[in-house]
Amino acid sequence: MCLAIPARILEIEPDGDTATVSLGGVRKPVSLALVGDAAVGDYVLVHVGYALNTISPDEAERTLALMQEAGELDPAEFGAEPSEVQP
Amino acid sequence: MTDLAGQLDIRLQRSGDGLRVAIGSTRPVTAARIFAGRPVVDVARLLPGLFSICATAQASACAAACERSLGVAPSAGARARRALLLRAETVKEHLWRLLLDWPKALDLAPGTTAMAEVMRAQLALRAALGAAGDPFLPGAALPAPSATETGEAAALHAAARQRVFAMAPADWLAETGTPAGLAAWAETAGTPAAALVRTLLDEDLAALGRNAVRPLPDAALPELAAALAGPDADAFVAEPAWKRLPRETTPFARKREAPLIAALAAEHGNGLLPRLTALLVELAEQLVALASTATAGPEPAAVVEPDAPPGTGTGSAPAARGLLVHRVVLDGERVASYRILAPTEWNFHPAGVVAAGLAGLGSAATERAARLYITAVDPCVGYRLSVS
Repeated sequence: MCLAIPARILEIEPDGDTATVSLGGVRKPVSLALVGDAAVGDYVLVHVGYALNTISPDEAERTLALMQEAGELDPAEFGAEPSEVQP
Repeated sequence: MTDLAGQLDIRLQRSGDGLRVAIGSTRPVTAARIFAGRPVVDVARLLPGLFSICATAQASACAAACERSLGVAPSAGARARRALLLRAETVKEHLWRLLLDWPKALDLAPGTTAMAEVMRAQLALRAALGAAGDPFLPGAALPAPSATETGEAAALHAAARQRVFAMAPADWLAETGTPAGLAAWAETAGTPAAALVRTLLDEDLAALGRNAVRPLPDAALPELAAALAGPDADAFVAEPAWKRLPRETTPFARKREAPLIAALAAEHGNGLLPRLTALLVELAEQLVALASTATAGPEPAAVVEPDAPPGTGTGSAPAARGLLVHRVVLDGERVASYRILAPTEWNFHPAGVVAAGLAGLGSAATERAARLYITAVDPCVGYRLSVS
């Protein structure tokens, strides 16, 4: 309900408008069309396929911890992301 | 399930005698239970970051509920800041519907660049009005906002003028006071939003989805608080009803007594055109209020549960999609229970206004028509639609 999910940007397409993020450990495409200057490694809030805005890693971690507590997420998905390539 | 936001699963099945509608939801309607045990001031700080789509409406309802439970009040300046921020969020949300969602549902071009500017301006306004302190902390004591702090509101006005009204919002309200005025504006304004109205009229979609589900009245709030306090609160927030019937709480319901909306509803019920127009009316009114130089803010809302014991508080806010209600019970300075009732649970109730609207499409229902009506009521979450 009214939730936007923090996700880390893994890759940005050459057109600058689409990115691949890690959403709960799963790679997903999102649109960056609504966000100013997001970079690989930044955290964004994601809702209905759009990145809404960037957030600090601290806030992302805080929000993800709350979501984990809400019990709907598998904590293992929010550990290290084995499929992620470190820039 | 990797996405806590959940989704709606909407299935339409054509049968011999019409259309069967089933709406399922995996929205985490009791997520607020995680706040139990935390200090209430921490909850006020954390909650808007979790429920971040309508973070301002959530923060408003939370602040009101927590302040009531603590017996504290914000300064007039904090109240004014909260009011401005809530208006800006509603403007942002309604512009998202008008610039992105409605065009897509009508196969028209979305206004993504304009929407990006709206997002930037609303976030900048939020940062500016909160730089001296969070206006939504319980008992926040802040001075009245200055012109410097509200400067970014101009960008919201500019986006609305260019992409929606083609004139100042106050002028639009004056010019479109009747259905004839609205139609005339739609013909001449040349904005993407005018094209939305014209398309509904041209394609005879004005009454699409109309049904008999009634609005949730403001007077229901005390009974809603009682339901949130009762033993079946969890079931209630998942499928709320009032006087045992599902109700709608939406911009259309909020504006149904405005002369233009009432006139449109007299002809088209709670169909598409009254809904789209209610968004336009509310957007215009919120922009006018956003430009107001009043520094005191609105009067505090009436106490919802005057006889509730100390340490209890109910707060509400008119979120962009409808009425949002929070209820907190404290144990000392910590939260014992926290419940949230959101508009999407009213509107997407299995027998609610969207279910009834979709059922009314009948066996000739198309996916396009279904998406239009769903968009017009607008869940705060992604959905999957199947028509068979």
